[in-house]
Amino acid sequence: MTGTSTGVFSGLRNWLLLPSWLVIGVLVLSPVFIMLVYSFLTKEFRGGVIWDFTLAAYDQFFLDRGLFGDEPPKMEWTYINIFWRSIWQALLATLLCLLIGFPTAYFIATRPPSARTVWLFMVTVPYWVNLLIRTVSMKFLIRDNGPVNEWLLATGMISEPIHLINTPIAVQLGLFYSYLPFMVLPVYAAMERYSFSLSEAAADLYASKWFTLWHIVIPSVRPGIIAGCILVFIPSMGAFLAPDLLGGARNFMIGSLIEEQFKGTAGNWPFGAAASMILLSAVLLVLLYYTHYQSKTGIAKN
Amino acid sequence: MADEIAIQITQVTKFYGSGTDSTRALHDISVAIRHNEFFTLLGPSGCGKTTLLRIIGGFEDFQNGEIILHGNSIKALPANKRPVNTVFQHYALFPHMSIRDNIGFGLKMLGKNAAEIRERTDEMLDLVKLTEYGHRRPAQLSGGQQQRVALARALAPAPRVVLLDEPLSALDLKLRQSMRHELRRIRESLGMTFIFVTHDQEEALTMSDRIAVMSEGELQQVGSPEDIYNNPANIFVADFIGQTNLIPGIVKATTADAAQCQLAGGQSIEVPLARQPTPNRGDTVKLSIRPEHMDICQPDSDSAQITGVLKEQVFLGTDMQFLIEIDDSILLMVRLQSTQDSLHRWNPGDQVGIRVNIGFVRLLTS
Ligand SMILES: Nc1ncnc2c1ncn2[C@@H]1O[C@H](COP(=O)(O)OP(=O)(O)O)[C@@H](O)[C@H]1O
Ligand SMILES: [Mg+2]
Repeated sequence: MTGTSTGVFSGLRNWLLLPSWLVIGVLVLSPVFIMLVYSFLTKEFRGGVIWDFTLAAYDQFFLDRGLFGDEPPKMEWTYINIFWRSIWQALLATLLCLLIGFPTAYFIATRPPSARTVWLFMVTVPYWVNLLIRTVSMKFLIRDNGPVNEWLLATGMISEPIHLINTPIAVQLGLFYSYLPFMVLPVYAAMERYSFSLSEAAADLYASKWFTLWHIVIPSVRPGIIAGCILVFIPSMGAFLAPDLLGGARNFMIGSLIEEQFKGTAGNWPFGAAASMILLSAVLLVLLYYTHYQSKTGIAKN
Repeated sequence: MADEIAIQITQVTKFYGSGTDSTRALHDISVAIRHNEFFTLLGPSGCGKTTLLRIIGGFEDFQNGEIILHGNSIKALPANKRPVNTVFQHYALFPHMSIRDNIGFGLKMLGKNAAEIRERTDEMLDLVKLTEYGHRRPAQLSGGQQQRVALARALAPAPRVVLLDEPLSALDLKLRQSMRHELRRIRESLGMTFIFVTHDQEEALTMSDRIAVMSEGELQQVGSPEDIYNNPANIFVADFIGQTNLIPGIVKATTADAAQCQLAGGQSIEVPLARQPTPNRGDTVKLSIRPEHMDICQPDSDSAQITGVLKEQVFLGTDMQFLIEIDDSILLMVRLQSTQDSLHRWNPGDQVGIRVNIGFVRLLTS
């Protein structure tokens, strides 16, 4: 960074950055901007929008004015509940991914270098298959007469099939399975850089295994853990395949709600756009909190 | 008390890996390290020094043998239960903790109360002369300072034995030399047993009470620095410690206190046996003669025991080094102090005599 920002290099640097700015501008910012504009437009009944500016979409999300829209406004809980369910499902999926992903990453990082490649490869193999297909397969696995239940019945561990399909647990399983590698990989990357001689030094100084894990290993790989949590939490918040296919109508998440608004002719584009903007704002808040927290611990460190 | 044994290592053997691709790191190591001793493991890189140290620390299991610490076997104790602390080669300081917290870590794990930890940490910071640095993080210290923190951290819990794995190797020469004195001073003021690993013979000779020379996983010799230097047990030790000439020869005759040896080129020399075992007649041996144990004289003088041709002389500062070829085949290195006025009497190509300080010549068979 230093020195290159002076003289001929500054001009050159801007030119070299141009492709990145173009991509970010065209593919990231403009869709968000279109969404923002659409969320303030009026819906057209067969999908699409009418160019009349209104707050109707946000009004619909937060306020209940009765069936014909003529009653005094009350709080509308339907969508907030869906939003709330998305948050806790995503949080739970993040926690579950962390609980399983952390030991997995630890295990891989402590193998000999040649074996690590093989283990990492095995973690990613399922993800070569399309997410839709994997989610449908999950549905077949856990349905009432699916292989999981049949096996449990056959071994005598249960006498009635466990009903999972169309429950929040099934959605949770789907989310967990979809995003597990997003936790394993960043935690592994941090763990690989961790010097295990620190663990030996802790043991040398009479620390137990658990104390070493909590006070030496985890603080050292914390950036990887935070990155993993963000990478799991954000797509889980907006997920629609797992809630649609495994959760059914009663386990709607915000992602499914948005998807509905743009599917076929029954949708409501401004409302979908508004729900997207609300989701985006929530995610931005999480990221802002994270960067704030990072810079604070960063300052404490230096 | 002085002769009490701190660590008794008996017939320790260690293989890494298993089956056909296993490597033998240690073979049948037996050694007793005394209480309050500065004991050094010396040997070339890869000879198994770190492995032996890690076995004592509890970081590595081993196939055979026993380790007794002050009378009790520690073979079955995990690392965090052994009253032994380590100064790691790359220090392994906890990066997210302050210097104080690093030093107090062991005491905290031992369940000492806060006041006690504070007091002992102050004491340790004082000992390693880092009193003003307690609140910094390891990354904010220089290499030499980090090294001292690592030492203070290992010393703070007052372990019975301190293990040090090449702690000075990452420092530059000046710092390394001053840290040698520091280490000795600290050990003497605390009265602990130090087991110190190095591949640097100068470091070993200047710091140690006793040295164990290792090669390829085996102990070659254990003794005081003088003992190791003057009475090397075998060719490896003679060659590894200091510089020496190893001249092939045959034992022609032995008497009660001397052996008549014929050098490969045909010249003969008589070696006293007062401080070494008597060889057999007909043995092929290597005569180990250190460069500083020889002097140059006129080839026809009575004191010349060997004669040869001066090939080369090199000025080394305090010393002058001569290369002398004897019998067209063997090159001998002779070193004289630069202050001697006889230095410039010889020129390359001259026939010269060599006077050998015969009491220091060693006959080595293996
Ligand atoms: N973890 C390991 N796995 C396999 N071989 C090892 C391992 N550590 C050391 N070795 C081998 O054991 C021998 C002794 O190593 P080490 O004790 O580190 O030597 P030193 O400390 O004297 O340089 C070497 O041949 C080395 O290659
Ligand atoms: Mg080593």
